[in-house]
Amino acid sequence: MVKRIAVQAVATALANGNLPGWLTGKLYRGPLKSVCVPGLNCYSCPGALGACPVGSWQSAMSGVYPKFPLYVLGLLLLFALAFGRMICGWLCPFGLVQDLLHRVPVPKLGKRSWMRPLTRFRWVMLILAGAGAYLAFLVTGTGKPLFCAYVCPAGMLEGALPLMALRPELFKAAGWLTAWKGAILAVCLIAMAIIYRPFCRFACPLGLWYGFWNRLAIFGVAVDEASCVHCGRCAEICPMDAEIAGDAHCISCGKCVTACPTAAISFRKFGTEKQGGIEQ
Amino acid sequence: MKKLAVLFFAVLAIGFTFLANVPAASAKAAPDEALVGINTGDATIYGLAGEKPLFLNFWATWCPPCREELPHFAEAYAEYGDRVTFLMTDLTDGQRETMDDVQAFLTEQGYIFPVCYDTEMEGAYAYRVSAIPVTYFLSADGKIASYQIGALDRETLYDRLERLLE
Repeated sequence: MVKRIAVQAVATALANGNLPGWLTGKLYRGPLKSVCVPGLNCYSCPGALGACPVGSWQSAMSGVYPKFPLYVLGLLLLFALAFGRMICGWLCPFGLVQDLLHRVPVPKLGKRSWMRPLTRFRWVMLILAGAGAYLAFLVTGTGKPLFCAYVCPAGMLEGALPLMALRPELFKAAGWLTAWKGAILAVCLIAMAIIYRPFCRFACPLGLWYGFWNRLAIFGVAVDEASCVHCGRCAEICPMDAEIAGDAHCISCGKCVTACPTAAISFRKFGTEKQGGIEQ
Repeated sequence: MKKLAVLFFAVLAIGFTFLANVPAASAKAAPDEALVGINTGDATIYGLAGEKPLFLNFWATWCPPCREELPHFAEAYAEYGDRVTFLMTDLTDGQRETMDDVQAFLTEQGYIFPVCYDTEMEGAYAYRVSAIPVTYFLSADGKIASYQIGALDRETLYDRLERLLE
């Protein structure tokens, strides 16, 4: 099995491979930019070669002529059906950031009972990102990408900070909004060192969407129903908030695969059915 | 059953991705509504355009890429202004951008190209402006020859202007 972090590193590098951008601070605007990447990677990152699906969704509904983002929906659906939340675990650059930050040797806050209910906050973010731009249009006459503009720490980290560092004139234009988003990012970064993937678990609308399709997705961790004895071992060891391997919270990190006493958990391969487990 | 569901949604998804509408306009006739909605004083865009091809740019002072392309436009206006009508249409919504903001900005920067104020957002609506800057190159007979979403670099700008005059 390939190491997950290696795949994450490659995916992040590929999604942000616009080297001229890293030197000059100018965004890449070529044809690739009209394709969304599957994870949370800001369009305004100087290295970005693709578009953020969440940003693209909101962008289509922004301005004075909102359009329904059919193309983005198509891509989001294709990604979801192929990989579900395996994208979160293996392909999302912001997920990698959190995995790395969690390795920082500071005290950790493990799973607590209040964390799983907190995952419902993602619905608020989904509504904000999914409908916010259009709601802004209805109220003010101009749609605005509310999630991008007021919340997204990924955009701040991958877009705003590098851009401000590379182009000082942008830094001069920073005001209260930059300070607000900077504060959100700072809180996120600290939380990420202490808690495992807090953004993914409690705030990410994209992860929530992919989670809807997780059980249906072609690739990812799955449980062989015939072998599963519902011991809950996978849920215990799961760093996310899954109640069973492969559910809507599962990012297919694979930690549970070796923990299962009946070897019922595996990475699903397209077209094959997992056969049996340990004969009792 | 699961495979069927995946197949169904996959077909749907492929449909959405490839059949989704291409934004804004192609080489069609320029929206007529815009031709009366934008006003500078009592003039309308149609009256201002006259018999010449039209360079129509939507911008605002709060938009960095818009500001970046303005020096190129100023140069182009100096060179092509007698053969092409330039209309720098500011999205003057009255909140984020007021006419005073724009006029102060223009004076400060020394730009003399013609600016009109889309105060009712009619031009923006007619030209489906959802992100700025966006530039439309209109031929003299009122057709959209080309358009560009996002900042125009000098080369592309001059290339499109030359093609407008062919």
